[in-house]
Amino acid sequence: MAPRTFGDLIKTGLMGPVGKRLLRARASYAVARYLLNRASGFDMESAKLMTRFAIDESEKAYTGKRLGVWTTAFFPTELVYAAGLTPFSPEVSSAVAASLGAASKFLSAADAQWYSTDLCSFHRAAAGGLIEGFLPKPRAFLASHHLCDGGPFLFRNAANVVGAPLYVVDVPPTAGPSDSEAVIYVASQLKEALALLEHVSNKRVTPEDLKATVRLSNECRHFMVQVNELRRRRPSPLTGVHAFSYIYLTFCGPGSKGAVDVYKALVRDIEHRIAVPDGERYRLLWLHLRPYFPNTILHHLEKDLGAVVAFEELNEVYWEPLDEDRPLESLAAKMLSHPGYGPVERRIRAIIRMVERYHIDGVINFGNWGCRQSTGSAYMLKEALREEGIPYLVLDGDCINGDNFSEGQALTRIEGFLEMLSERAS
Amino acid sequence: MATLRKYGNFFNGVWPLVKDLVKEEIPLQSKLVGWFCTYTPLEVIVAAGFQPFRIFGSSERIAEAGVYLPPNLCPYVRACLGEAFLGRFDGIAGVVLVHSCNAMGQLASAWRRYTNVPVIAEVHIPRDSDSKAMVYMLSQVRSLIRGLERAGGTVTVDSLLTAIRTSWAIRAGWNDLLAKQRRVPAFYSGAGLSRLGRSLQRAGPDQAKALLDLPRQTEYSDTTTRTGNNPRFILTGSVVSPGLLDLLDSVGADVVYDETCSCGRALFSVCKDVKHGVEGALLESAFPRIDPNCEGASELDTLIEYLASWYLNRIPCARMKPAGQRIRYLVSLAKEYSAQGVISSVVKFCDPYLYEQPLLRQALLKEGIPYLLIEHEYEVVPEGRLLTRLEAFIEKTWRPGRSAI
Ligand code: SF4
Ligand code: SF4
Repeated sequence: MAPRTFGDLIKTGLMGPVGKRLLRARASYAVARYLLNRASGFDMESAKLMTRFAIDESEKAYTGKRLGVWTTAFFPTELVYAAGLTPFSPEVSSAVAASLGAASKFLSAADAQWYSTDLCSFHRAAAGGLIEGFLPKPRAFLASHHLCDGGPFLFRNAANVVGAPLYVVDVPPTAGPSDSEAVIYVASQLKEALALLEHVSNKRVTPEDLKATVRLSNECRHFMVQVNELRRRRPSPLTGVHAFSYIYLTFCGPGSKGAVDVYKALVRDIEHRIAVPDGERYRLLWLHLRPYFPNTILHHLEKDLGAVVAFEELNEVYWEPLDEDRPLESLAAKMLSHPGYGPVERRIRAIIRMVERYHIDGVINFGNWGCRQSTGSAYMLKEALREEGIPYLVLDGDCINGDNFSEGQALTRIEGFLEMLSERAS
Repeated sequence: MATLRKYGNFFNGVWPLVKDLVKEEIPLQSKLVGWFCTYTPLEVIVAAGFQPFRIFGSSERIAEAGVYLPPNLCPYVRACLGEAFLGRFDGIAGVVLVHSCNAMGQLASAWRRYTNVPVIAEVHIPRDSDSKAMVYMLSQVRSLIRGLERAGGTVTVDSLLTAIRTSWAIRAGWNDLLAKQRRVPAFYSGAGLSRLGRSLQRAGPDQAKALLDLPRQTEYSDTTTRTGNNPRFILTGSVVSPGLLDLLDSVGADVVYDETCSCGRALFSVCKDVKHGVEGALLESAFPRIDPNCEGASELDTLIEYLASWYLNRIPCARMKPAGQRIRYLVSLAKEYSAQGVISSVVKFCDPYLYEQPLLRQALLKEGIPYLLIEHEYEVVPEGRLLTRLEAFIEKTWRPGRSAI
């Protein structure tokens, strides 16, 4: 069975009249696993493993097989796994809903509950999905203010609707990982977040439990570094069309065995793909996320125009290995070292580093309409990268709401940008 | 109800005076320190020998600011950057940047990169008020003091004590004015009082006292045309320009309490010793240690702790962790001020206040309090659609003789 058929089956089931019930039925996941095992169209083992991981984790979150908590992107899921709980990322669920063509239903539900259309559509769709009963009700909400304010604010509202406890980690944007006061401040909040997780799971998290998940997180990091090292090669062995999906693991994977297996397999996959035919004319760095609703942008870019997304900002390993003996402090340092948070200079430096490291010809920043974090600094990046002589294009649009994006216009702008790259090259 | 009404109260007469006072008070430009967020510990700035003044932004050069900050980012921060481009802050000692929200964070970066106005300090205010947050807040206040010292200021026990007492006197004076707004009809026009509130945020201590005295001196010559029948509202939300207040005034809506970030939130007090103001009553039991006179404080650290505690423990704004406290506060304000409804004025793309809408609406609905959200581009212009919405809301909430909530 081709993967397209596999995806279509999932889509038909979930969006049908009994979709909500299917999501909560264990049998659905058994069927999904069966279909996945028989699917032959996956050209990468890691992709299949990741789909398996997503099915397993969704089963836990939706069927109550394991207690679930909601986490915002970049909340340290190592703590969640240590407590024997399942993290659920509403942002990822919005991307999935968009790819299944269900986002507009969720967005309308959020509109009706007074969520302004100017808010981030990842969060609006999640709010709507919860209202519509498509998202699992968690036992607790764990949020952190890095990178954006939207996640914690959404969780505050959702916790009110669900009646579950909420913990928000306040991460000082003005501080870095070497600021000991900030590290202590964040680590002490992580300790409280962990206490809430223990309470929810009714399980005491021992230092060994934490060590184990931190070790897994480091192992995952180790393979991610290897993947990224391989991606420096020309032609690019892993292109954006594939690479974007692994960002899911940076949200939900750290601290899990599943994420380690996927990245380990990805290293093997890439090593086998090193000899892909060279159709690569330009190497691009993609900032922020991509549009998740059905569209042809990436495909057109990479297949027709020879402009390969050689690297994505969100796949960068920006943090140091965690210290097993000081898990909370090192997780705090990881949070404080995110280059997308705090003064824009951090992000600029990180981008310049990536441009050099991955031999980038041009940078595309996809501007998600409601995003104050990435889109908020898009124009400052333009100035800074221009000074460095790095070609840069802001592509305004929306990651989730297809109505807020003109594909034709985007393609025209991309073609103009590539022409400019070509002129520069000659 | 729709008829335009002049605010024929004392502010008509004294507004030019207020403007003059504020103009006169501008001291040496080099002694001015600009601030944006109401969580900025202003007393420390005063204690260091500077005069803090609120930056409200200007739409004049907002397009130029748009080269660096995108159009889907808070128009208030874009207006602030635009005002810097006007050259109005040339020669000032500097500004204090507070990363209160994503937009303020972006402003901080843009400010450093594209203006030549010095940055005295860039601080983060914790979003909670527990002991961990308090420890971090202390580090931030100390970092601000270091910044002020680098700019030539000195903070001593005496100077900080004086600054704290002066600030309490101003807050108490503001509370006295507010107390009169509880009367029916409200004593002052909402637009007038809000303008005074804005001026207080740009005035030095002496000018502030004089500003607060203006209405006191003139209250008996007040020729107000307002009647007990005017609908009364609490105005809440993020920042707002006086245009919206003028507009509300013009359609006959009495804003009896302007709780927005541009006015009330910068001036209110939570001290148990302040007799007026529901906020004092609300928080008294939770924060019994707060003493506005700081009697017995002989060490700088004690005063810094006092200040840090005060800022973290005041009625939280929408960026802070607990949402319930702020919402309960708004409900109690509406009751205390016999308001017929709550109006939220939120600048476009303001995440903290936009995300608050579902919770706030739900809470007010439960209490039977009518609610209206006005989203705007900061500088409010009285265009037709907005006028129609306001008039419809007033129609809905107000009937002659209808009692308040
Ligand atoms: S798109 Fe921006 S606002 Fe939305 S979740 Fe991501 S960082 Fe936050
Ligand atoms: S108006 Fe809203 S978005 Fe703008 S600075 Fe204030 S809280 Fe932030």
